[in-house]
Amino acid sequence: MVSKIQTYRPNKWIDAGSFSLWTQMFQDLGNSLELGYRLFVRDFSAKYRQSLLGATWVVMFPLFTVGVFVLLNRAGVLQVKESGVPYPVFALFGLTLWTLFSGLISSIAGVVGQAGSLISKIHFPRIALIHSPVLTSLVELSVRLALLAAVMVYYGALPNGAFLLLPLFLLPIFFIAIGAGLFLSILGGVFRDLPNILSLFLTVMLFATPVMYPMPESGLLEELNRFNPLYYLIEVPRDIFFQGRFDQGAAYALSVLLSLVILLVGWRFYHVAMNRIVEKI
Amino acid sequence: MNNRPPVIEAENVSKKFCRGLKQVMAYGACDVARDFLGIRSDTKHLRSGEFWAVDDVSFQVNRGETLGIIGANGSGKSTILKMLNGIYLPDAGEIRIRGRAGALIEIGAGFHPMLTGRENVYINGAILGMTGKQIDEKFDRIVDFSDIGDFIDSPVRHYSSGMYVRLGFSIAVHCEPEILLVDEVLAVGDALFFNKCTNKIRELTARGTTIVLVSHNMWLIQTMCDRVVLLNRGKVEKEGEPIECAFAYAQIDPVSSPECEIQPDHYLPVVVRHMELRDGQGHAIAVVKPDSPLRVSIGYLCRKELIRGHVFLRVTTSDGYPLYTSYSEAMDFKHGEGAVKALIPSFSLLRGEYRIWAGICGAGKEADRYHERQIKISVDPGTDFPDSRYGVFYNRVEWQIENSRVSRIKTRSNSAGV
Repeated sequence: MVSKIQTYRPNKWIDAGSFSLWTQMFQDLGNSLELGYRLFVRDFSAKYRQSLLGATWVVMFPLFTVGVFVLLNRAGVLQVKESGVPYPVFALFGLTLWTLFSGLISSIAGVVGQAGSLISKIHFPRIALIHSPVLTSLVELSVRLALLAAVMVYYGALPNGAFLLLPLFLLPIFFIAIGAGLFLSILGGVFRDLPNILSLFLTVMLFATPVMYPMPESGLLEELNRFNPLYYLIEVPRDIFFQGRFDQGAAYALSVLLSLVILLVGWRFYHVAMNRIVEKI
Repeated sequence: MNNRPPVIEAENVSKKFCRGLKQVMAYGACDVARDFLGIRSDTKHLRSGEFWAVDDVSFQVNRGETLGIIGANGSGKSTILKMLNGIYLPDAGEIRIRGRAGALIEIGAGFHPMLTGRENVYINGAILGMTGKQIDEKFDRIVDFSDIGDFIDSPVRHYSSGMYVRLGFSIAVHCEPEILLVDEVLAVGDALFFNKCTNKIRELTARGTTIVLVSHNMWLIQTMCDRVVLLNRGKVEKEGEPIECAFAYAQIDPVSSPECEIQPDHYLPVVVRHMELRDGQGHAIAVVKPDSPLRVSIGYLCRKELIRGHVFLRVTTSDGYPLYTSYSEAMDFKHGEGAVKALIPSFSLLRGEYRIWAGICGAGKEADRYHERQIKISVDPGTDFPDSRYGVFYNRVEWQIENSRVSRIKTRSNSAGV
């Protein structure tokens, strides 16, 4: 039996060459499936074993946030211009996609910080740490989609058949969240204040991005959001599903491309930087 | 079989670390950026604030061999182990590993306190690289070995620390890695389990598993290892026979400086001022032969009159384990300086580093309040005494051979015991 030889030396990643690094990353991903699934089961059962309301928590945040916005809208504090869709459906759809993004990016950004002695003392495919946040966000997403469906039925605002393609439209959101999350998780291993900064940033972004309200006609927000890929990734599917309108094709295609780049760059950064960051933990 | 290349090869391996937190972050950011952009880093030179935690270390381990790594805290043992496991990359040199390496650096990694032992076996097993099917097959053996019985279905947070360690160890050894890296984890757990672990490790070696063992327990190192690497401040100080390395380690051990004083408490009546060791002829010595006489002179200062006090002498191993204590007859101590001499007709210890402590205590309730001073002593037996691998004490034993086929030789032989 000839065992595989593992060689460890300085500048290992550079010596490996750019292409073989990609194959290594995919091999690691393949090897991490079993472990990733176990870690998901661990985190998931531990999370819900001691909680009274269990999965109800998943829908609390969107339900209450949308509730507040609906109240503000009714009271006339917030003037949302008519978009052809009942406002609660409009807002809840946007918020469902937004919470997918914000929940996933913040949980992935925390994996290195939380893994602690696991990564500093055991060798395993490091990418296994992200399966648990991704699968958890999928479970939570499906619960929130059920809520969205109920609200859509209640208001009689059913989307068109393109809604069946929703998973496809969600992919770029996953890509951005995973890629950026992996990048941030490495930084978070060293800078412990990163989670706080991130949660502050996400709160600001939630209000600055036209998620709960349509894009303003003009002004600073409009100017800025023209360069915000998340705006297109949420607004374009919403337009398609509820209005049957698809008019920002080029910007959407660019956003999807950007999301793919973010995913690959973040993943590669995570793979290469891990050895260095483990020394600093 | 001997033609096979070594399972582990470490060639001039070095690793540097950094002291200041700010520099750690700055260098870390810089290194990560370079790695990511594909700019080769010159890792062979120190930047300001850095030091070599492991410095130019080379060794090889063959299949089925057990290598011990010993050294004081901070000498680089764990760093080497982590490099062998691929957690850290070396900054210079190269490591080649042939085979699947399993690490017992942290026991029960990934255990979740809320989940049951059963669930945690699957998680920890997966972390160590086992598939669900492999764990299914070995599950009963893992539980049997760990001796935790019905607790396997209780949450791990209800486990005693011993149970926790037993389960963790059991999972790790049942992974059956080709190379097992063990970092000082056997220190926890009771004596019974310790024996079970060492037996299990021997069983693994017999089947060809290669083991690298880091420990401060010299007895464990001497009984388990084929070869030992002694590290001192990141450099290899000595490599070879476990017994030789253990002896060399005791000599560089910084805690056993030749004479070491415990600061006297103001209320203690008598303080030991100095100690001296002499041989039978009265020459000052620091090294004795087993079974030879040893004189200890103890100088003291009496600050407050002490009626019916005792002088005592305690001999301990270099790590402080007491071997025996001897008390003088009761005597009265008067104000001022004084001296006491003790004669040990036969200092009957085997090769090793020991310490002799001397103190003066009162009687009754005062017996545990004393000031003591210690002095280091080495025993170097030459060749005609047994190795300390077989014990600590030297004892003279008369042998009589009654088998007629052996010619009548009355031998004076040596025996040892702990």
